[in-house]
Amino acid sequence: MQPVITLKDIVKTYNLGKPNELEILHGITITIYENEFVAIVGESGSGKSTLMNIIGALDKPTKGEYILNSLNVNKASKDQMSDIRNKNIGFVFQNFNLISRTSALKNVELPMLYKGISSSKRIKKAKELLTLVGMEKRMNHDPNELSGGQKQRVAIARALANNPSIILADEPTGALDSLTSRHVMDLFHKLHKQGKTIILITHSNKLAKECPRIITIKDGNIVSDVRQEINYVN
Amino acid sequence: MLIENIKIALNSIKANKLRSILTMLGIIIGIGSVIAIVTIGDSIANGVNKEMQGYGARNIEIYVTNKNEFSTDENMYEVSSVEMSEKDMLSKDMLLDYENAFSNQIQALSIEESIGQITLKNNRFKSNINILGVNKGYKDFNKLEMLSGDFIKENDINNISYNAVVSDKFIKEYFGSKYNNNEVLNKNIEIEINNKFLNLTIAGVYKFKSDEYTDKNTYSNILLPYTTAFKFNKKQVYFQSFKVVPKEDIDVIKFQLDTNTFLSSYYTHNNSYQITTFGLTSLVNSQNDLMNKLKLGISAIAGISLFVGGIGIMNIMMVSVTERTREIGIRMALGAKASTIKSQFIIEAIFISGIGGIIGLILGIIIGTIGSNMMKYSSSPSLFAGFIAISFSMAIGIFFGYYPANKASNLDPIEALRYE
Ligand SMILES: Nc1ncnc2c1ncn2[C@@H]1O[C@H](COP(=O)(O)OP(=O)(O)OP(=O)(O)O)[C@@H](O)[C@H]1O
Ligand SMILES: [Mg+2]
Repeated sequence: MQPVITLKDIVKTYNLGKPNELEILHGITITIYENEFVAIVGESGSGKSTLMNIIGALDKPTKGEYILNSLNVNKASKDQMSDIRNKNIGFVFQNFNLISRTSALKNVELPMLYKGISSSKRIKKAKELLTLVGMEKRMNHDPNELSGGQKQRVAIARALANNPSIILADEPTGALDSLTSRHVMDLFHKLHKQGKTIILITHSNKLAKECPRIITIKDGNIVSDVRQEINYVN
Repeated sequence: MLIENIKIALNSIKANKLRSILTMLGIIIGIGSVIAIVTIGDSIANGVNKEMQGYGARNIEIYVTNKNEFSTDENMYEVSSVEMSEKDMLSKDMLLDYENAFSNQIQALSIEESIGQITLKNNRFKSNINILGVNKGYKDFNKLEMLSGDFIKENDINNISYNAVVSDKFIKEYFGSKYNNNEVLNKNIEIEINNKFLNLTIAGVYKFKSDEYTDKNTYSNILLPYTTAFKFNKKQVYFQSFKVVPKEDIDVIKFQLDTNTFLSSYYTHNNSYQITTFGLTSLVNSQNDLMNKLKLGISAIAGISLFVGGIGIMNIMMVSVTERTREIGIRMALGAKASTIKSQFIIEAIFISGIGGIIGLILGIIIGTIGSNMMKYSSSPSLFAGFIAISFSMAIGIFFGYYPANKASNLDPIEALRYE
């Protein structure tokens, strides 16, 4: 198995050098291999999102080394980080982060737009993805005309737009009822089967138990990292 | 990418229609007033120039003047009362030399030697008629149109003939309706001036032109060879003045200067007389100069309006960037590069100012056209001015949009996503 994500002694300090300086991550070391499905659990404020932002190349660690697919992210330029986010990683946010006054279809097109894919190809792919998440009937609606579950499905479709090998999902089901959460989880299992590497932050122990590997974070440290045999039947 | 950015910009302008239009107002007023003023100014300048042209703005008059007499443009026409001797005047050869030297610049050179004036009178009218000895150039200089027969020819001048050219007005007054313009050719007329009789044969008829300077129905001329006139005046053929007009494409000011230099060379050793040239061009130019200064002044005010408009755009772009911080964060998180975000906002600023510029241009054209139609001479706004206006307003967009766009592109994706 190939390591996809290698984190070594990652430290993240907010407001560095200011009076309100605050160290959130205290030296996180994780290796995640290709096609792993990892759940990250922990209390609120323990630093899960902070870690996820570093893995997603949205943020840089204060100390430590992050290697993504043999590329040293610490040394990457702003534009290289943009490229990584655009091509290698599909990010599903806790709060959807869809662009308002912009249709579901246009939202899904965005990553492809920034990759430089032609308009006709973008529309074709976006329609496919929206159909995959069961949103084909709502694709011309703006986000404010969609329910929470529908928005999250659009966000997942958008995360898949450039066919990234890694999916990062920060509490994708946090705002959803149990039935909709179920749909979303089923979708992640399906993507896992297709060979994607998935990292999922969740508060729900029930959902974490569906994942082959569970990492627990407490106050910015890893307190447990377990692999388990699961027999998930879709 | 560019097309997408343009679409995003247009969407954002559409989403905030009223705000965008209010922002454009400064640009609209600025561009509109510049275009309107330039158009109206051009029409005034055109009018002045055309009117001056009608009065012979390009004509140059050359005088031999007394060095010791104070002479300004105003008293130029007051020909010196002291009789100058023939050696101080311009000879026929000098004029010929001058004409040859400037042959590719001169449109027409006109000589006049007056014999005197007669008055035709009956119970219906009273008409003054000048008897003038002229050369061939007189016809072109005064743009006379021949109705029948011929103008004074080289032969007439050499032979000191008594062939005369008269106006159709004169024919009517002299013969009544007895003859038409053709029938009158070769008829004789007898004129008495200063108790001397002049017997002339009509060789041609020209179309009478009312002189814009003088009363409509006063002067009409009987034209005869200048040699004949000199002979009648019992004078040698020497000239105290003549008139010349340069060809269309010749710079009049330079032509006037060169003419003066050329003819003055005959007077370097003359202690009492000199060559003075007089033309209206400098007057026209100073008028145009004034007009241009006026245009510049008003354009400066319009420039201030554009500047204020630019600041308005900058302000609204700052608001737009702040309002859309989250959107910017999302775009960056999905892989938009800083340069892409920057160009997105610059394009938006360019579109706001550019659309403002186009609206201003249209308004300016409408106001300018109405305004210039109220002047005597209408003038249409130039394509060039329109092009400049649009590019200038777009440049304002780039200039004032750059700072907000840069601010947007420098946002940290994490912080932008966190923005409430
Ligand atoms: N930009 C920031 N500046 C200062 N402190 C921050 C910043 N972002 C996060 N923090 C702090 O870091 C800590 C970890 O935050 P983080 O968002 O990673 O928690 P989390 O584990 O994702 O919690 P939750 O489960 O509630 O989403 C919190 O105490 C938060 O206050
Ligand atoms: Mg979180």
